[in-house]
Amino acid sequence: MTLSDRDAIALPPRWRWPQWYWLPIAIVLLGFFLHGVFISELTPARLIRGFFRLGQFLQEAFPPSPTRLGSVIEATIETFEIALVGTVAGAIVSLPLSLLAASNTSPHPALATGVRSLVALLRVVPDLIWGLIFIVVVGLGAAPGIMAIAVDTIGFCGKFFAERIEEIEPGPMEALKALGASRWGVVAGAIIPAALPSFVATSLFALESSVRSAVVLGLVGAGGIGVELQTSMQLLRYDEALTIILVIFAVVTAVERMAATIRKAVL
Amino acid sequence: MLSLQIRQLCKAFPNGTQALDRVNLLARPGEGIVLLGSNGSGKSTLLRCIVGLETPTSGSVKVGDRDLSALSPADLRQVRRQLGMVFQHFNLVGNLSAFHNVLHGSLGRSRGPHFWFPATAPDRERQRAMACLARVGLADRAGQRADTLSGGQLQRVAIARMLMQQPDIVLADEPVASLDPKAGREIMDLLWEIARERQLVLICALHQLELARAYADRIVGLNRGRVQLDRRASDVDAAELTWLYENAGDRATVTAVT
Repeated sequence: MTLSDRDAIALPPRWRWPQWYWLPIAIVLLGFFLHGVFISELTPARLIRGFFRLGQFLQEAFPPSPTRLGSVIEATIETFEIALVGTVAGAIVSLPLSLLAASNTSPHPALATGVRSLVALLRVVPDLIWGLIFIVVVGLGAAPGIMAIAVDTIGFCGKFFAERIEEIEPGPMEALKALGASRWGVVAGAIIPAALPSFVATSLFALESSVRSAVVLGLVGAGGIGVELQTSMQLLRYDEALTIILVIFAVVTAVERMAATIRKAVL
Repeated sequence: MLSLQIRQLCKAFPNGTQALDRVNLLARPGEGIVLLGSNGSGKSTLLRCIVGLETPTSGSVKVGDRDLSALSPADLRQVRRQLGMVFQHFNLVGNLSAFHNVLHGSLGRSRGPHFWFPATAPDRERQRAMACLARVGLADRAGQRADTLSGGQLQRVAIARMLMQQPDIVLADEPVASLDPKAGREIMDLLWEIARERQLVLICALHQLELARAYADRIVGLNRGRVQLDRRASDVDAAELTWLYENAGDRATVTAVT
């Protein structure tokens, strides 16, 4: 058959019109976008003015003041500890939850759906809101920060742990079941060992995000460096604020580096 | 020593496939049976029904004098301890050591979490696991991660795990299908030696006709879920085996469509 044949094979069309229902969705999203640009009132003049003010801020912030460096480092360590304790607690709680939530280990599909929904609920509420709630519940300090981060970590780790468990190849589980291992024997013998490297890697991602969360949680009074930063900003002590920002930067970077190194080692 | 008795075993899958159709089989200690049949003939389903990984639609599987279908979950675990299974894809936990994988063989009879880890397992179990690894010739690989071993070595570790179980009945589901011919023969030698020296029931599903004829004491041919052949291996001729495979064609088509 040659190309000149009259009944040549039909080519697929170059362009296919999208389904009609994409049109209203696109219009609504475009409307929100344009309105958003409008209410931001980000005019070029304002941006330029802001740029000069940033210069002013930096001028006042330099050189960073070392006068309160000791207490800043102390508070930053507290922030890191809040993140660490909260993440470890959250990861530990996530372990049984994910076994209940994963379709291949859950005792009952309804229970799996229930636990999944609970974990999703923990995830959709932002950590800052958990922080505010726990401050009401247990008062100011490190405790509400740790609780907020633990809940946030459960929302994250619960989901990813369960997904990892569902990806585990069924072979080894079947082998242990076939040789008479109990339900817990299969969990300890085949599931946990196969999923552990991934659990550690996921928990380290959670820790990285927890350290940033813990800084912000401090701003609402949940312990750590956040309070210090807010105070310095409000007192217009920008040189102290810069010190705090630099210390936070150093700690966040260090945690990310450490997490990346450990992840590489376990995976 | 336990024998294995299968009576009128049927298994239909929810999609309508009749995987097993009135299968009868009696296997005695010290007898090496090879199950032959094409893909979809029901070999794997039969072995999986015996250990209870699949639930038969009807019929009975008796291990010794215990009927599997009448057992509570706890009693089923008891019976499963007697049934050692070897898989085509080894089914070991890749990121654990060979030793740890072999130790898993004790999970059926163990009571308590300390059996779960090499660090906390009793000395007796640890020594037994090492002896099983030595029996399959891999004592020097005990500490090596399973996923760094070759295919033949992996199947040896899986056999050591099966030995750790101290089973009376060994079921091997195409144990050499993922191995090269040399490693395959070594694994077959090992399985048959073990079955003879410990007087175990051995049922081994295979694809390779030559291996079947070389090793089997008895050959059971499955076709479309039915036993079409059950005879001493020395009485089976090549034409019969070829027939077994060639008559599987239409069945395979049906399975592919459903």
